[in-house]
Amino acid sequence: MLDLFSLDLLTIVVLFSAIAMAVVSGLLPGIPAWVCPFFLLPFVDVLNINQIVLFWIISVLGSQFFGTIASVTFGIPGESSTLIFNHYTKHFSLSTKQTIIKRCADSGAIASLFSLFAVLLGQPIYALLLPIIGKTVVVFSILILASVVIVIFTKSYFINFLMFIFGVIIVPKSNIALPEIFIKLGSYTYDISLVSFIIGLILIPKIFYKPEDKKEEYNKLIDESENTKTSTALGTSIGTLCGFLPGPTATISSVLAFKFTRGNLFSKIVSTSAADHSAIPIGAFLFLYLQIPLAIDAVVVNSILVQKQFNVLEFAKFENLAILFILLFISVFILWLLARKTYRIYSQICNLDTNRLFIYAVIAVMFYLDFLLSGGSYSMMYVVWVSLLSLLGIALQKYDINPMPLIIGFILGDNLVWSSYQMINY
Amino acid sequence: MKKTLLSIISSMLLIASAYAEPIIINQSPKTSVMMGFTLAVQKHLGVDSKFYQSRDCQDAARAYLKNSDSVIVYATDVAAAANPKGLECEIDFTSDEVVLYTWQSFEICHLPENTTALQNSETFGMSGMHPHESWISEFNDKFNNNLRTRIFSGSGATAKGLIAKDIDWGFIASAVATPLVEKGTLVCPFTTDPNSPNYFGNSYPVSLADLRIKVLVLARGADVEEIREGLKSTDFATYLKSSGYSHIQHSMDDPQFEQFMKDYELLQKSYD
Repeated sequence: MLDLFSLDLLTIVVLFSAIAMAVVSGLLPGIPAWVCPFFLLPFVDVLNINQIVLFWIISVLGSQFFGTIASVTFGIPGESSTLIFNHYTKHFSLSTKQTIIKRCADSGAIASLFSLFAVLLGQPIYALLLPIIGKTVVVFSILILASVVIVIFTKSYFINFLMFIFGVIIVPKSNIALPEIFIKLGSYTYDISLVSFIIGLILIPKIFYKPEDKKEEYNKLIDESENTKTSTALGTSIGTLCGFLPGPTATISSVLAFKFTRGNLFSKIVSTSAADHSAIPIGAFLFLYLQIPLAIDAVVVNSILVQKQFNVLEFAKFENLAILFILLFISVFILWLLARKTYRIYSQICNLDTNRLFIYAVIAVMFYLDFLLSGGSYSMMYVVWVSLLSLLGIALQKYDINPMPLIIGFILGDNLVWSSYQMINY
Repeated sequence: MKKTLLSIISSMLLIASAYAEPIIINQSPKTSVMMGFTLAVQKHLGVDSKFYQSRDCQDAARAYLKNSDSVIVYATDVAAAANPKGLECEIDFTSDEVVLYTWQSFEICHLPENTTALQNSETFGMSGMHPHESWISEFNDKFNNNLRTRIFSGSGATAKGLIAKDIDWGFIASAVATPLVEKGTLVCPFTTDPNSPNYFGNSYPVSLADLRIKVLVLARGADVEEIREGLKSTDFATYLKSSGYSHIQHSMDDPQFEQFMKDYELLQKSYD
């Protein structure tokens, strides 16, 4: 058994590198988790399949922990679940932010461990659930349900609807099988990425517009003494179930958890974080158990494994998975400790949120990362789109409108359009 | 004086272009399986190169033709599918530019418990990018069946559709189907590989029985021969085999080139 997954020095280095990667990608706002496996590419020659899988799952799972911190401290969404509550947390007091970071770390760790137990039970669960929730109709229905929930997220239904539709329309569509109109539209919108969306809608408006202080009003919505066990359980259940679906499951489960959790804003945020954390490992193991890469990060990892001629089928055996789970458990514990115990450092960072120089630096880093992710090229359309999104972001800030429906529309748009097209042809 | 200055500048440009690294163009989205393929090609090129992620296949075709030193991973089914959508993704190339021609077949699969023959089945899954409408229409005309197609985003999604019992039979790329067959999840009695005894066209002679994922690596410029040699490495050949590409050749003679073009025309017509 140890031959298959020997706990050598390199494996331990990989484990801690993945945790470091999780911290960096989580704290850098707007960087999607699927970027993490790309950092494996230069090291492919020296790593074995166990180390690649370990790095992938820890970095993607861990980035969720630190994405919450980025959102709560900087007010910039770091991962899916934070998109949902980012608009509210920017108005919270420092002590409330600290409590949210700690509670989200707790609920995230519980949700991660629960979902790891769920996947440890193995293929029977996948085999039982996939024929039901893997159906095209079910996937489409859940996407529609998530869209409806986003639109009725706040009382401004009409504005939310318009923003959501705008996000769905402008996201570049990846499938060439779609009707011609989508392909034509894509030639104008190709340059927009999620990172440029965050830069334009959230970061640049921070330079030009300082939101009015609503700490008192928003802190009334929070009851820090509220027991969040029920909301953690609900979020974990929603995330676990949604994790089995292909596509942006973390986003879908976060939206559903926020909307359907009863109680005050505090419980909703904790539930959202739990949903996100539980959906991530389940989606990852869908690839390991079924050998079908459906999520973007799984596609990247699959490309790496194919290059190395590794057989995922050989890997997904109980003895390998058991040791992988032990290492993942240890990693979750370390991530939880890091996220929870170091919040004082982040409290200091919170104060930087109002420092313009700091915001300029974050924008510069984000532009550079977007440049790298786009394959090292910018175009005039990119500049036009970032400018337009910035103007829109300033307007939304001014009227205190949550840009979340627009960003979620952008994230879900590609899947939603394809799923609708598939249903029309069903 | 002007002439001297002009000749110096043009000589400098010539020298600069001679030492410029070729660009390697990825025609597909950066999150697709072909991204991994392009990175593997870049790794084995034998010369230093710059990676270029194209906006779409039209941008890729333009970048390839615009640059004097360029390499492109050219999936012909993408170009054929994009053509009716108004994108000009086709590249007018010569056989000299081909430094690699490889293909993988599709497997035609069902769940082990499904014993209904294809001609008696109700639903058939296929990637939406492939010419599903003309394929199914010809199949139904010839075999008197009311088989309906359901489209999926790719082979992975088609395999999931089979497991979820959304479809009775499915058209799945060899790289995706093989591990599922080894695991016993799927049974694939037919293949689109014309050299196989299980060739689909033997049992169901339709014009698009030989539907394969054909990938060309095209190169232009000073380093073509070096690139061709680089792609002959055993390491890269092993990568191709493990990725489901069963056929590998590093050049095309005239009859092969003509046959390739004829097959491409047939594929392209099936989208009309």
